[in-house]
Order: sequence, then structure tokens, then C-alpha cells
Amino acid sequence: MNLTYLAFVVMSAWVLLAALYVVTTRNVVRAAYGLLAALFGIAGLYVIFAADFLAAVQVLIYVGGVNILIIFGVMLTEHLGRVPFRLVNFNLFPALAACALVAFALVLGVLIYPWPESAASYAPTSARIGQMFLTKYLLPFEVASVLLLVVLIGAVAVARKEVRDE
Amino acid sequence: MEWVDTHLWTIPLMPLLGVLVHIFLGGTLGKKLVGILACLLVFISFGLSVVVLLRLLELPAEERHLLDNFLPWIRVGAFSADWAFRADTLSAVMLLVVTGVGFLIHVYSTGYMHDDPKYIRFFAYLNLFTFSMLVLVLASNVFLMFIGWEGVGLCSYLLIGFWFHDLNNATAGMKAFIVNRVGDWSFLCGVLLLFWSLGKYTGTYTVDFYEINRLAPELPAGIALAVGLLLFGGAAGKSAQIPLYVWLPDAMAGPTPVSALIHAATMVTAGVYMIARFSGLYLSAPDAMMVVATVGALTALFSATIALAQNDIKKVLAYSTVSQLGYMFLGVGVGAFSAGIFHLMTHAFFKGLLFLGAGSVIHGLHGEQDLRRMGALKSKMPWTWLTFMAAWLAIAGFPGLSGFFSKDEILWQAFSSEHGHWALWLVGFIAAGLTAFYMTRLVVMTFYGESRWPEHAHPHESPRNMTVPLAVLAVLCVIGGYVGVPAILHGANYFEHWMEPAVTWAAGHGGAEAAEHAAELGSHGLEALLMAASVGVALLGIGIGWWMYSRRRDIPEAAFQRWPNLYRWVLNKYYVDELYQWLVVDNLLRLTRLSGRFDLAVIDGAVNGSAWLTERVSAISGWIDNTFVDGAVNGVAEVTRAAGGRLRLIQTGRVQQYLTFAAAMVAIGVAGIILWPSIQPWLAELWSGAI
Amino acid sequence: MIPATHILAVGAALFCLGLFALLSRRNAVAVFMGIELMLNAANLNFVAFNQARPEALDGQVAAVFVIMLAAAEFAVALALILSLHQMFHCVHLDEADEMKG
Repeated sequence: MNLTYLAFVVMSAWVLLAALYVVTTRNVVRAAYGLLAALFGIAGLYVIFAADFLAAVQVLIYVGGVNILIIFGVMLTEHLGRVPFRLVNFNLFPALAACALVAFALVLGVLIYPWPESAASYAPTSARIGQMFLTKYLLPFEVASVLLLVVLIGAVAVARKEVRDE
Repeated sequence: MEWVDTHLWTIPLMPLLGVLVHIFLGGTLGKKLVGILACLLVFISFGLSVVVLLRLLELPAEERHLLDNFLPWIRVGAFSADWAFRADTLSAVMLLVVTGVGFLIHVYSTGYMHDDPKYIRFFAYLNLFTFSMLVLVLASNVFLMFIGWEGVGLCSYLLIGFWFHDLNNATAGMKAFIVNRVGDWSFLCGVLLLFWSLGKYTGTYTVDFYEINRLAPELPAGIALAVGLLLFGGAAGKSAQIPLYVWLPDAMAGPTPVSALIHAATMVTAGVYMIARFSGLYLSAPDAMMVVATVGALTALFSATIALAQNDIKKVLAYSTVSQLGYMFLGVGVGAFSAGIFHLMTHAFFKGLLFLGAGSVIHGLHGEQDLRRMGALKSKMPWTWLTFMAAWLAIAGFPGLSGFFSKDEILWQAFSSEHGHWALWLVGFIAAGLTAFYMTRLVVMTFYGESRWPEHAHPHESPRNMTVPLAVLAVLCVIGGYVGVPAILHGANYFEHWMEPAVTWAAGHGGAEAAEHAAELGSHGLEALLMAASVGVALLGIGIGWWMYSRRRDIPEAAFQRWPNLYRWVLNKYYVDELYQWLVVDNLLRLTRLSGRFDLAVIDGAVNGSAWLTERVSAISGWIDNTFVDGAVNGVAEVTRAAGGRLRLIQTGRVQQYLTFAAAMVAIGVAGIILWPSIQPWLAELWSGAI
Repeated sequence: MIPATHILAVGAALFCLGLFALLSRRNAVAVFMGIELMLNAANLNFVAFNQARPEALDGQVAAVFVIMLAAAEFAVALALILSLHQMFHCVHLDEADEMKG
């Protein structure tokens, strides 16, 4: 067991515990902070996998953007300080059963298929990723920018419409 | 002065600073400080432009070219498009015109807009306009130029619709923007085609103007022609040429200093400048140049005739601008790039002065713009009158004033250049006569004759900060032409030699060849003859105009009554706006309505139809239900009903429940696929066992 | 080195946790947190696969696209949650079971 593997185990445990907390805590605000921890942990995992650019993007967009949005969402919709009477819906046992089935399928997949072993290299990736965006992935890249524009307008339209109706 | 070599970026920075300060601190600074700051910053830009000019003068003629690459922008492989400014002889002239005339207009605006509630915003827009135009003229590559190009388009929209609470003004702003978009589309297509074809045929992907001009002769003729025409489409939009000139007269809806800025110093000259920038490209596409020259000449004549009958002082000047821009395109179109830019410069002086003078008149008459309610203002507004005289004589081509030299240069080149033709000269010649005539009409109806303004109007001279810019521009109108005195008048034609390094390319060079051409013709005599002819037609136009409108007002009246249809036709600008309305706008609206109806009839119809179909099917199935199932054994009915009841429970409307089923099914499916290799032999055995 | 199956196992566990939140939580925001966890699990797998061929970065590029999509998705989701809140005055998904608000 080398040091990288140890770091991986610690980080994975951290991520999974944080995710477990997100899933089980009764308070949505706490869940949001748990998610923050989990997302940070995943950025740490990326660092271990030598994906430096991705780690930075993860921190910038997930931790800095999406998580803030989630906290916004919680604040705008939740009556803070009041823990709901019922946390989970009527669906708890079917949900557990479905999750067990999915877990079974995933474990089967992980165990049966001969996955290629990793040959980690620690070269910086940012420049090459940038070049791939402008060459091989130019079309998806442009489509993504159009998508973001559409989302921008769409989100405004969806969030506004009901205000006008009232 | 080498300092300026690496600090060209400071020139556009000044107005940009102004924009930021006005927007964020304008309220705190107050009107007075904002006005002073706006003028001061543009003046600093002007000072820096003068430094650039002096620096260029230090260099030997062939090396007059500064490149300041201060910020990397797009770099992919060997291709690069950076924030790089280039000051060569061409952009130096433009710099001086933009910042110099722009500065005077800023000063004038502090007086003209003094009582406007949106004063601060106005100066923010003016500075933004100057900034965009400076980026446009300084840009060393097409992409950067496009930023300035779009910037002036945006600012023109903001400024034309500045008084947007009046619907007409807002519409005029939108019209300018939309018509410009048509041109911009063409421009962008041209740029992209140029970029692609340069890469394909010369192996170099580049957007730098000098590189493009150097490589242009290697392009196939057809592609060079297509690129030239597409780029000219952009120029026609921005510089208001047929068929895209319609936005410019409507743009008079903006405040008058804006008209002066847009139509004299900045925006509309962008098209001419762009053609001159691509001079190498155009020289390798002679057919495209022919189109440019022809469109320019026709625009000059066409809009000059419209200007004859307009009664709004600013409308006359607007059509006159379109006409003068036509001259510039005629100049660059016959390869006389320096003559075109020379006329651009003198036009900036006299047209800027005419607009500012008209603004002064309008200001003095409390917003009156109709020539029929003016007259006899000479004694009431002496400064305005005096300066207006200078501009009038300059635009009419009176010998010795700036307009005379530049217009004559263009006409001579149109006749004698190898890209020229006598017909082009003739069209320009007629337009010159018409110009003299309608400008005289304007002057007489404004300043002479009997007063036709109402008694209580009390016209007054404008304040000092409006008349001083007028006086400066008037001086420039008078002396501005002496930088380009042609050889035939024993001048050195300094301007042409100055411009030469920026417009000389492998494909040929603009300007100077005409002189050689003329020498071949052995026709100094011919040049003198043509010059005399254009002086004659200018004087004739002035004379007839003066006589008709100050002595014999009955003649135009009689003419109108004799040919009322012709008059109405010209007055309504040949109904071109109506034609476009009918041809383009109405059809677009019709298309919109059609697609709306398509939506209603076909799409909604399909939805309704499927609903109807479902209803029918369910009616049939209900009928089957009633006849067969009810007729069948009761137990079967019970089973059916029970199953239906059970199945209905699944349709709860609760998304998470649906999702649970979906996830479970997907998991089972995936597990099945993964396990298939191990299940399959067992199944096969079972199967064979069964048989 | 880290065996690929271990990374994939972590990804699978994270995915199942996210799925559980998605299927069982009442609060719409919590549901979206579950979706984010699932997307991250998928990203983890992308990176793990990328490790097998470090000279080609397609896996990481895909992960960047996923992150971009997740951001876009949550922007729309937030808008939906807000309009849900306006319609039902709560964000409990099991109460929002009408087809037309």
C-alpha cells in the first residue's frame, strides 16, 4: 500500500461519508454543507488522479457556483429553523429496493468486466484540454455555449412567468 | 517620441476611461465636470494623435508604420489575432479626423445638450462612440476592427434613439441598427470567406491587414471578387450606399451633435476607411472596384436629386452626406484611395460644420427644422452665418476651399485612372452641379430672403461654446484642402504622397499611377479642362440656386406645379422606403404571420387531431368493451376491471415513484446484459431439455 | 497504483447514495443534491477511465462537459424550484402531483 493509495482511500472515505450525511440528514441546510464537503473531496480525488484542470474546475464551478446556487435554493424555498415532520416520502422502501438493484448491477459491472489498469502520468493537462476544446471538441464546445445561452434565457423565463401571473 | 510606438493603446483608452467615469461617477461629479472631462479626454486623445503624426513624420516615408501589439487575444497554432494597434499614414489621418472633429463636437454638445436631463448619459455614449471608432481605425487585424465596427453600430443605435420616449426616434434607432446588421452580415461573410480562402490558397491563416493585402494577389480572381463584394456590402451598410442608405436620413432623429458625429467624423466614414484598408485586396479584384465605383457614383447622383426637394434642414444635409459618401466610394473605387480619404477628411470638416451650424440654427429657433419657416437669419446669427458660408462654399466646390481640391481630385481620377471611366466622371460631374445647387437653396432659404419664422420666435445666436467649434471648423474648411494641391496647380500634392505607403501593394498602388497615366495621355491640358468644367458647374449651380431662390421664387413653384408627380416623387425620396416596406418588411411580417398560422393550423391541428383520433379510438374500444366484454363472462369482466384498478394505482402523478420503477428496470436490464454470458448456456440447456 | 475497480467502486457507491436521495427525499432541493452526487459519480468514472490512457484526455474533456451541463441543469432546476414554490408554497415533490398548476 503506497502513499497515493492511502490518500485515495482517505479521500474516498471522506467523500462517501459526506455523501451519506447529505442523504440522511434531516436538515436541508446541513445537507447543502455536506454536499460542499463531498464536492471538495471529489476535487481532492481529481488531484490524486492527476487531473489538475478538472480539480480546479470542480472547485470553481461546483463549489463556487452550483453549491452557492443550492444554498440560494434552500434559502429561497425553505422556512429555516423548521425541520419538516416527514423527511422522506412515501417511497422509502421501494427506493431502497431500487437502489439495491442498481448497486447490484453496478457491482456486477465493476467485477465482471476487465477494466484497463491505470497508468497514471503527472503531466499538466490544462493546455492540452484547451487545445482539444478548440480542435477535436470544437463543435460540442460551441453547442455547449449555445446551450448555456438558452439555459440563461430559459431560467429567467421559467422563474419570471409565474410572478406575472399572480 | 518613440514612447508612442508602444503606447498607441492610450489613444482609445482616454474615451473609454471617460465612459467608465461617466457611468459610475457621473452622478457624483455633476453635469459641469462630466462635460469638461469628456471634452478633455478626447482632447488628450487628439494630442496623442498629433504625437503619432509627428512620430510618423520622423520616420522615412517607407517605414511610416507603427505596430503596438500589447495584449495577446486569440492564438491557435501558428494563427494569431491579438489586441494590436497599427498607426500608419492612413490611420494617422483617420485618428486626427476622429479625435479632432470629435473633440469639437464634444465641446459643441456641452452647449447644445445643456438643458437635457440625460446630459451625463449623452456624454457617456459620445465617448463610447469615439472609443469604438478609434479601435476601428487603429485595429491591425480584421477581428479587432470588427469590434470597433460593431461598437459604432451599437452607439449609433443608442444615440439616434437617444430621445427614445418619442416612438419615431426609437424606430429610427432600430432602423439604423437593423439596416446595419444586413451590411454587417455581408461584412462578416466576407471576412470569413477571406480567412478561409487565404488559408486554402496561400497556406497562411491570417487576419492582419498588411498580410492580407500582401497575399491578396495569390487568391483566385473569383474569390477575390466575391470577398470584395461582400466586404463592400458591409461598407455600404455602414457608409449608407445604395441599397442600404435608407437608415441615414432617418438617423436625423437623434440630437444634432450626434448627426454631426455620426455623419461627418466617425461612423459613416468607416466603410470608406475599410475599403482603403483592404486596398491591396481590392486592387487584385478590379471587378469589385468597378462595382464600388459605380455604386458610389450612382449614390452620389441619386441622393443629390433627393436632396433637391427636401424641406427639413437636417434631411437635406443627410442626403448630402449620402451623396458625398458616394463620392468617396467613387474615389476608392477607381483606385484613388488617397483621394477618397482626402475627401473623407475635408468632408469631415465641412459636413461637421454644416451639421453643427444647422444645430445652431435649430437651437436658435427653439427646435424648428423646416426650411420653409426660416429665412433672414443672417443678421440674427452672425457667427453661425459666417461659418456656414465657409462650409457651403467648401461643399459646393468653390475654387480654393477644401472641398474643391478633394472633389476635383476624385473627379479627375475617376476620369483618368486605369480603373476609371468617362461615364463615372460624368455622373460625378452632374452630382457636383446638383450639390452646389441644393446647398445654395439651403443657405438662401435659411439665412436670406424674408423671415418666415413666427413673430414670437426671437432667434438668438448660440452661446460661445457652440460658436467657437464652428469657427475652428470654418478655418479648417478654408485651409484644409491645401495639403493636397494637385500638380497642375503647381502644388506638391503632399497628401497623396503621404498616403502612398499605406495603399501601395504588389497588386498595384492607388493614386500615383493616375498621374503617370495622365502623363501617357499627355493631357495636362485635359486635366485643366476638366477642372475648369467642374469649377464652372459648381459656379453654375450656385448661381442658378441663388437666382432662383432669392430672386425668382416663382420658378421652383411653377416647376412644382407643372410637374406635380415628379415633385412628389422626389419629395418622397422615390418611395424607396415604401418599396422596402412593401418588399422586405411586409413580407417578413407576412412570413411571421404565416408561421404563426402554421403553428395554429398544422401543429395545433396535429395535436387536436391526435386528441380527436384518441377519442374515436377510445369510443370504438368502448363500443367493443360494451358489446364484447360485457357480453362475455362476468368473471372476465371482473378480472379486467380489477387489473385496470391495480394498474391505475401506478399512475399516481408522483415523479419519484416513476423514477424508482425506471431505475429498477434499468438496473435489471443492465444486470441482465452483464450476466447474459453466464445465463445463456443455462437457458440453452433448459431449452434443449424442453425439446 | 490505485486499482481501477476501486475507483469504480467508489463511483458506484456515490451513485447509489445520490440515487437514493433522488428517489426518496421529499424536498426538491435535496433531490437535486442527489442528482449532483450522481453526476459527480459519473465524472469520477470518466476520470478513472482516462487514467488508463493518460496521453488522450477525452475522459477529462467529457468530465468538463458534464460539469458545464450540471451547472446549466441546476440553473434551470433552481428556476423550476422557485416556480414550484410559488405554485404550491412548498417544495415537496410528493405534493406536487397535479398535471396543471
